[in-house]
Amino acid sequence: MTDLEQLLTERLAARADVVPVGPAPVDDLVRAAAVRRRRPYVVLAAAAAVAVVLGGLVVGLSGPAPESGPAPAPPVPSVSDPTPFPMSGSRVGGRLSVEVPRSWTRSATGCGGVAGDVVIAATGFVHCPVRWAPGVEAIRFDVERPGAGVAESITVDGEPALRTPVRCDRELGFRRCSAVLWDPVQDLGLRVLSATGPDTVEEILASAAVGDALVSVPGPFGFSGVAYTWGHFRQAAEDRGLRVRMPAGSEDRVWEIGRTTVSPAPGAAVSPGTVVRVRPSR
Amino acid sequence: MREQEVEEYAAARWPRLVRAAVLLGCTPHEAEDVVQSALVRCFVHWKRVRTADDRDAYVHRILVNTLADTHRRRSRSEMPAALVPDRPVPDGTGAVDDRDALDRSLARLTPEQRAVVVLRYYLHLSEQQAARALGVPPGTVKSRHSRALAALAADPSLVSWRSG
Repeated sequence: MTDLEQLLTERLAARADVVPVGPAPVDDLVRAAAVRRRRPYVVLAAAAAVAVVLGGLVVGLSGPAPESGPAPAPPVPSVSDPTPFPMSGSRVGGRLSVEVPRSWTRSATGCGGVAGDVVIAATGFVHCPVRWAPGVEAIRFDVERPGAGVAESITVDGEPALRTPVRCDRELGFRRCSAVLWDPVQDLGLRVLSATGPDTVEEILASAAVGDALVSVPGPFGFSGVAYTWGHFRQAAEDRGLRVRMPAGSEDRVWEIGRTTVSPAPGAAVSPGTVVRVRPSR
Repeated sequence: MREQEVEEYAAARWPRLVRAAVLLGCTPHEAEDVVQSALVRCFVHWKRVRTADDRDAYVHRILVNTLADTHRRRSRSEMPAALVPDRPVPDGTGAVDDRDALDRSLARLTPEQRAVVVLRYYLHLSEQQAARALGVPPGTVKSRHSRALAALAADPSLVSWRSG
C-alpha cells in the first residue's frame, strides 16, 4: 500500500467516525420489506403512470399475416379482463428476466405464424408474426434501447433498468398492449405483449428480477441480412460464458430460420457454463 | 429465523453502511434514508442476499445503486444549488481541516471514482469485490481506481493536507 493509500484509509476511517449514526430502525425496515413483498411491482406500476406514446415501435411484430392466412376477427377483448395470469414457470431473459409459464412455445429459430403464447428470441431481420387472439401473450427480445423520452428509469431488485409504460393499440381488430423492460448492462430488452390487456403486461413485468448468476441463451440477434452462421452463434454464446455443442465442421453453416434447433431455447435464462446444443431441425 | 437473521444483519451493518453513504456524498440524514431504502430492497429478496457468493458485496451494490437512483430523482426535483452546497470555512482545528480537505478532495472525483475509493479504502473491498459491488468488470474498477488516485495525488487540498 502506498503512502497515499495509507493516508486515504486512515482519513476515511477518521471522517466516518465523526458521522453521528443512531441505532438501526430494524422494526421499520422489516415492516417496510413485508409491505414491499406484498406489492412487488409498485415501482413498475408507478412508472406505468407516465403516459408516453411509443410511436411505431411495436408495429413491427404484427407484420404480414402468417402463411396460413390472417386470423379471424373475433370480438375485441375487454380491457379489464380479470383472468389471472398463470405465473409459475420458467424465467426468460438473462441477467434481467421475467417469468412465463413453461407451456409457452419457444419460437426462436422457427418462428412464423405462431398461434399461441410464445417467447420470441429472434429479432432484427427475422420476422416472427404472432396470430393475435384474446389470451395470447408474447415476450419478444429487443435489441434497440428505448429512447430517453419514452423510457423511464426504474430499479429492479435495486439494479437500474429502463421501462416504457404500457401502451395499447389495435392490430387486425385486436387490442394489443405492450411495454419494454430494458437491461442497460446487457443491452437487451424484453418486450412484453398481450392481447388480454394491460394488466397482464404489468403482471408479467411484476415478475421481473435481476440475477447476476443468469445469462440469456442468444438468438440470431441483430441479424440484418448478412449471413449469420453457426459460428456466430457459438461466439455469442461463449461470450456469455455458455458452452456450445454442435456437429463438427458446422462453424460456417448458415443459420437457417426454421431449420436450426437450439436447446435450451434462445431467450432462456440459464447459468453460465450451461451446455447449449445446436443441431439441424428434423 | 429469517426475520431474526434480517434484524441481526441490519443492526450489525447499519452504522458502517450509513457512514459509507456519507463518504459517497450524502448528508448524514440522506445517508440514513438511502441505507434504509437499500436494506429494504435487500430484505425483500433476502434469499438472494443470503445465497450470494459475497453477501456484503451484494448489499454494497444495492447501496450504490440506491444512491444513484436517489441522486437521479433529486436532480429532477431540486434546484441545482441544493446539489453543490458550499463548504464551511475551516475553523482552524486540525480535525476539521482534515475533514474538509477530504470532503473537498472526494467532491472533485467523479461519482464513479469516488465510489471506488470508498469501497476500496473504507469498506476494504478487493478489486474483484468492488467490481461485483459496482456491477462493472474488474478492469473498469482498476482504471477508475488509478484515475482517482492520480486525481487525489494532484489535488491541492490533499497536497497541503499531506504536507501538513
